Amino acid sequence: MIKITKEQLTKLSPNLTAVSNGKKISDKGGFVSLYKTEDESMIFGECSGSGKSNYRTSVDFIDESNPVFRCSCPSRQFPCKHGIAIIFDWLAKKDFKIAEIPEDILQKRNKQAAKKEKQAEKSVETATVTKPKKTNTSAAKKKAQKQLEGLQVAEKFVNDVMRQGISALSGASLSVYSDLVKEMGNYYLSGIQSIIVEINYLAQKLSDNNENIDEVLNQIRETLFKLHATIIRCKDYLNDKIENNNFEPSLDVMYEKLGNVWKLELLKQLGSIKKNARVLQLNFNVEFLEAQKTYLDIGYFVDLDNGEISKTVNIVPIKSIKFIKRDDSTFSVINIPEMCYYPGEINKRIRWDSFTVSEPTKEDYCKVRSFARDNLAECIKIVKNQFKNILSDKTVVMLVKYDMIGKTSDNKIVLKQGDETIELLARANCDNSVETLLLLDNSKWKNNGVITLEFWLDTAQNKIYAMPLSIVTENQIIRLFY
Amino acid sequence: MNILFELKERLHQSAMAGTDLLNEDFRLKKIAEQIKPLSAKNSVFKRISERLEELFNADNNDKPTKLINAISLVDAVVVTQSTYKKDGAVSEIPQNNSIFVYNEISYNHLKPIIDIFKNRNFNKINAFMKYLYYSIKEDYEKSEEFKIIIDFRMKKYLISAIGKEKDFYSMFSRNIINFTNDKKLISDLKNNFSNNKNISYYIKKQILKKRIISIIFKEFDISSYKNF
Repeated sequence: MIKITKEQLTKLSPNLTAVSNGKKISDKGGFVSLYKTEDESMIFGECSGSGKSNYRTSVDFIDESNPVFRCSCPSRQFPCKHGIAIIFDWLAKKDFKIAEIPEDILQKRNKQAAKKEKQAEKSVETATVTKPKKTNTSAAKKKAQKQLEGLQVAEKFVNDVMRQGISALSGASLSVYSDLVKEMGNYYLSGIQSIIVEINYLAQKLSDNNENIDEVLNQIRETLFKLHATIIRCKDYLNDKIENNNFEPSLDVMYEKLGNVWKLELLKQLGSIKKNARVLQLNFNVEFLEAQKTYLDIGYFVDLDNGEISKTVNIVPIKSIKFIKRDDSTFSVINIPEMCYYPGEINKRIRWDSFTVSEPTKEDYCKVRSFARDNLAECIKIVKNQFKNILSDKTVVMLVKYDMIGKTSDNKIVLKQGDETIELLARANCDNSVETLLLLDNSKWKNNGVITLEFWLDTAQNKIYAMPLSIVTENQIIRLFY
Repeated sequence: MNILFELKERLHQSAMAGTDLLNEDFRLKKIAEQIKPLSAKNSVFKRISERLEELFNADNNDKPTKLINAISLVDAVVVTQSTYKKDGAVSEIPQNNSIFVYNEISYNHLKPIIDIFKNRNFNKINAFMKYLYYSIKEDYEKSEEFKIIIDFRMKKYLISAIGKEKDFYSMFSRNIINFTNDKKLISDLKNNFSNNKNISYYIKKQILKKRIISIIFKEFDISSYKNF
C-alpha cells in the first residue's frame, strides 16, 4: 500500500517549481494511462509531452522510505515533473488500472534489489559499525599547523582593535578587514572568516552614520569577543591534536567552529545517532543573516520518545539559492531510521537522510504536552547556564506549561506559572509573534496551556524574555510563525 | 550587584576607548579598589579582582587579551544575575471571538501571500484575489487560497493592506473582514482612516464587481468557516 502525502512529495521534489509543474500536469489530465501493480508497490503510466511519443513514468515504492522515480523524458531534474504529476494523480484518487510491471522496469528493479543485497552482505561481512576513513596524518598535521598560523593572524587583528579601541573602527580600515577575510580562507579557517565578515559588516554600519551607533558598537564588541573566544578554543583544539598526533575527527563543537562541515556518515561513525526516532515539528521559520548574506531555514522538533527539542538548520547562501533545496514547514510525524545529532547544547542540530511520515494522533499531541516543563525557575537556570558561555547559542527553546497568559497594567503580555511570571516579547528582527498570538481566538489558549517558548537575553537590560513560537493543544500545534 | 554593573560598564568603555588609554582610566582603577574588599567574602569577586590585577600589571602587548578576559568573566557573572520576572498584577485578556482560524499552511505557501499584503503590492494582490475568486467559485472547501485568507496570521496584514486606497481589492479585503463580524477588527480599520469620516459608508458600499464577490461569500453559510 502506497503511503505518501503531499508534504512528503514536496520534500522529495527538487524545488517548488517542479511541484507546481507536476500539479499542472495532473490537473490537466496529462497522463493518458495510469497503472498500478496488484500489491500497489508501484505506479506507472504514460504522459503526453512535447515530444512525438508519450513519456513513460513510474514510481517504485518497494522501499517506502526511498521511492524510486523513473521517466523517459529528457529532463535532468530528479524527480521530474512527470514523476511528481503521477503522484498527484495517485493522491487525487484517479483510476489506476491493475497491470503487470513493464519488463524494462522490472529488470531495473531486480538489478537494484540485487545491488542492495550485495551491499547488505558486504556490511555484515566487514563490521556492524563501519570503520571511519583513515585520516592522512601528515596532511592533517600540515593543515592544523597552517590553521594555527592563521589563528595567530586573527588574534593579532583582535589585539590591534582592542588596543586602538572598538570606536576607532572606521571606513578607512574596512579594506584591510576585507583582505583579512580573504586571508582566513587561505588558512582553512572559514569559521573564523565568517565572524570577521560579521565584524566588517557592523563596522560598515558605523561608517554609514547609523542612528543606533551605541547598539552597533555593542554588537561589534560582542562579536569581537566571540571571535577571541573562538580563536583561543580553536588553538587549544589544534594544539591538542598536534601534541597527541591524533587527527581522527571527534565529537567536538570546535570541529565546526573551525569551518569544517559535518557529514552524516561521519556523525554515524562517531555514534552521534538515534535509531528509529519519531519527531514532530513545533515551529518553522527562515532567518536572514545580513552579514553573511545567508538564509537559515530553521525547524524546531520535539522527540516523541523523550521530549528533547532539537532543530534542523538548512544553510542557504544567497549566491547558491538556485542550487540548494529549501526546507519548509512539516505537519506530519517524521519517522527517521537514523537521526544524527551535531555536537551542541540544549537544542542540538539534527539531520537525517531517509524518512517516512505519518499522521500525528491525539496521543502524539498529548505526549508533546506531557513533556512541557512546569518549573519556570528551573527553565531560567538552564537558560542562564547556556547564555553565560560566550560561544553558546543565544536562544533556548523549551515547552512550558502555564496557568495563564494575561496582561499587566502597562499592557505587557505575561505568562504566569504559579507565582512565577515572564514577559512574552519577540526578539528584534523577528515578526511579532506576541501580536500574532493576540489575534487568535483566545478561548483556545489563555488558561492552563502548553506553549513553545524561545528564551532570549536582552543584554542592555540584562533581562530574559520569552518569544512564543506555538501553542500545543490536545489536537494540534498552532504555529505563530509557520 | 550595582558595583558589578558599574564595573561591567567601565570595562566596556575601556574596550571602546582602547587599552592604549587604560593607564589613564582612573575610574576603572577606583572600582577595582572597591571590589578588593569584597573578594575576601566571595570567591567570584576574588576571581574578578585577580583578573583586574592581571590587567593593570600586564605590559601593553598583553593588555588587550587581559582586558577581554576580565570583560568575559564579568559579563558571564552579570548574565547569571539576569532577571526575568515581570512585576505587577496579571489580569485576563478579554475574550476575542474571531472567525479567523488556524490552518496548517506551510511557510512556502503562506509567506509569499503575507509579503504581498505586508508590502501592499497591489498588482500581486490583484492577481491573488483573482485566483482566490475563481478557486472559491470552483470549490471553496478545497481552495488553498481561501484557507490562507482566513488564517489568523493574515489578519494584521489584511488590515495593513487597507490604507487610504480605494482600490477594489482593498475593498474586497474589507468585505471578508465584514463577514467576520469581528468588532475589534472593524474598530482597527476605523483607526486607520483618521481622515475619513464616512468609514461606515466605505465598509458598507457595494459596487457591481464587489457585489459579485460578496454574493459568493453570501452563498456560504458563515458558520461553515469554523469547520476549517
